[in-house]
Amino acid sequence: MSRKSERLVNLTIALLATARWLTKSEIFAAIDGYSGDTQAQERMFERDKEELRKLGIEIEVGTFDPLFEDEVGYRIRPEKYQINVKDLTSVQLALLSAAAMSWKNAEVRSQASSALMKLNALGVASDAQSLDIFTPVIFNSDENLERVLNAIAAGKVISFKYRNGDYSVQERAIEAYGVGTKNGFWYLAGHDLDRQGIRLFRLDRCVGQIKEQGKSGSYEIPKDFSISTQLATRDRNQSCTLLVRSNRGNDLRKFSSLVESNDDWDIIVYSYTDQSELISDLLWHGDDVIVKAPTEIIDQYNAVVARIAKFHG
Amino acid sequence: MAKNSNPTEKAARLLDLVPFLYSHQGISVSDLARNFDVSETEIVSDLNTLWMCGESRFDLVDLDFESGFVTIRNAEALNLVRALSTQEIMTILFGLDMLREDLETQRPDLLNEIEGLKALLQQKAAVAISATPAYDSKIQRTIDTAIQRRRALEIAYRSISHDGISERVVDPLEVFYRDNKLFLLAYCQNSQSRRTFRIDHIEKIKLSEMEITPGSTGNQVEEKFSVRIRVHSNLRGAHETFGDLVEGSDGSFHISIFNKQWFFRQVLAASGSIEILEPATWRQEILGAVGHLAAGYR
Repeated sequence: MSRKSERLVNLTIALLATARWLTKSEIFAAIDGYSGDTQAQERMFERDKEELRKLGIEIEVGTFDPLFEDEVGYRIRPEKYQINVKDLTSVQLALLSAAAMSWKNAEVRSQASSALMKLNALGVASDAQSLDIFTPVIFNSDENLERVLNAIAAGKVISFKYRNGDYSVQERAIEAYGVGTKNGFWYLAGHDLDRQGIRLFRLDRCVGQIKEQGKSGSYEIPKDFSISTQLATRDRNQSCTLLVRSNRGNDLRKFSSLVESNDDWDIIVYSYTDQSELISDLLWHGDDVIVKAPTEIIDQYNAVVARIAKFHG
Repeated sequence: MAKNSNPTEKAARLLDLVPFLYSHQGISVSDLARNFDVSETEIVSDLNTLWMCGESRFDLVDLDFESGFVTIRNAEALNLVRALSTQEIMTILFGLDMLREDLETQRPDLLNEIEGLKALLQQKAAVAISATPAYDSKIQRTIDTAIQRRRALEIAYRSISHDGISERVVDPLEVFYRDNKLFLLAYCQNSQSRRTFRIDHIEKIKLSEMEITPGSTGNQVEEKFSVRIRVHSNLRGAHETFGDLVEGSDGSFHISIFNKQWFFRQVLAASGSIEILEPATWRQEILGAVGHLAAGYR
């Protein structure tokens, strides 16, 4: 296993250090590990190039003589290999470190920790503590997150089994556009290839492993796509009048204005988003909350109460 | 815990080790392992491999780490910090988003810097990333401080099973993440037992002057109820609320319930998608409860 790592490192050194194009035969001669016949060596070399590309290391291909393109050469340009932070201030570097550090407790953290390593290796004052700010913590224990990030980076279509509302499982294939986290949940958005539209998925409702399929770079993320818009909190643009027992309805009161306060009961106007969510929230509060208006909500509430009664009667 | 790495991951680490070692000459093997988030065995294996690398057999990387402290020479060609990969940029973008929410009140002067960095990173990787912290960072910070300094916490906690806010003094033990939610495990001095608190239900928090009570490890003895339900719709929702449902031969489900009041409220909030089958007395009780609700409108 370390032989392959060694070969990849040596290939990188050779291609970085060279001032001119290196031919395949020069590479095979200089680097240990390219064994077997020419075909086997070439296959190995192609695989290595692909592995390095996955690491973001770009190998350029060129020719010695523009008139004779039979022998091509390879090299890695140091300016492309290297991080470019010339224009960043120490405060900005410290912010980047703080951002990478927010992953320190997450199960999937290898990308963040390698990013942090690179920033540390710059040896400049990239110390997040120098900012004297609290580093927020990102929580994740879903291994599929890393798979999704890899697929987005590579521009590869992903497929997965998704749990529907009725608990059935359905195969989905999407071009992943973005990932977001909100209220502790992780979401994945993308173009659903079967449904031909943008869909949002909750990562914890994906069953089993998310798989990559097809070639790299098979789609582009539309410039106007915004994951924040997909995840935006819907406005609480509807309201109803509620009678709430004193010191009760604590979570409802956060989105309410108090109209009147009596001995045991308060009248509040509560703002909500969705009618069925509202009914569910009202029911949770039992007889501590009574709907006064509008009639439409009262009717729906009573219909649900009647349904629960019918099941249990 | 650190995972075992594949050859490509190892190669990436070897490449990143070189500039890191150049800027941290003399670092201890254990610090190095911690920095790279791998075990000491793994980092020593890395160093042994790196030591065999070089432009030719006569020009190998010169590494010294026998003393337990690492120095590097003769690897100038690799003394370059690699550009950030798209995945690394994505993880940083998540972190910057989280930072921004918090800095709005803490350090508004840094908000422009964050926006500038996000724009710069998005040029390098046109990816859509968004993160909104699920938890008030002030609450997290206060809990962290309390655990570090071994101090008790005064909290106002909104119950998940009944509609009330209680004031408690708790000794924090640990913070953990499960089923997409963050919890605080603590010894509650009021109830003299170990309790789990949902962090998004902590309404107020204050560091107490009191130190953590030594030996506060009392364990809560919880009563467990065996319940059978029928799910009429939204089976996924039932799974997400109750955890593992054990399906019976007639399509009904068995679940274990720790808190009756919490369960009743969930059944009501399910708006008719859940029917209690057993215990029969609970069935009667829920019927009584909804009868009472209907009466409120007469």
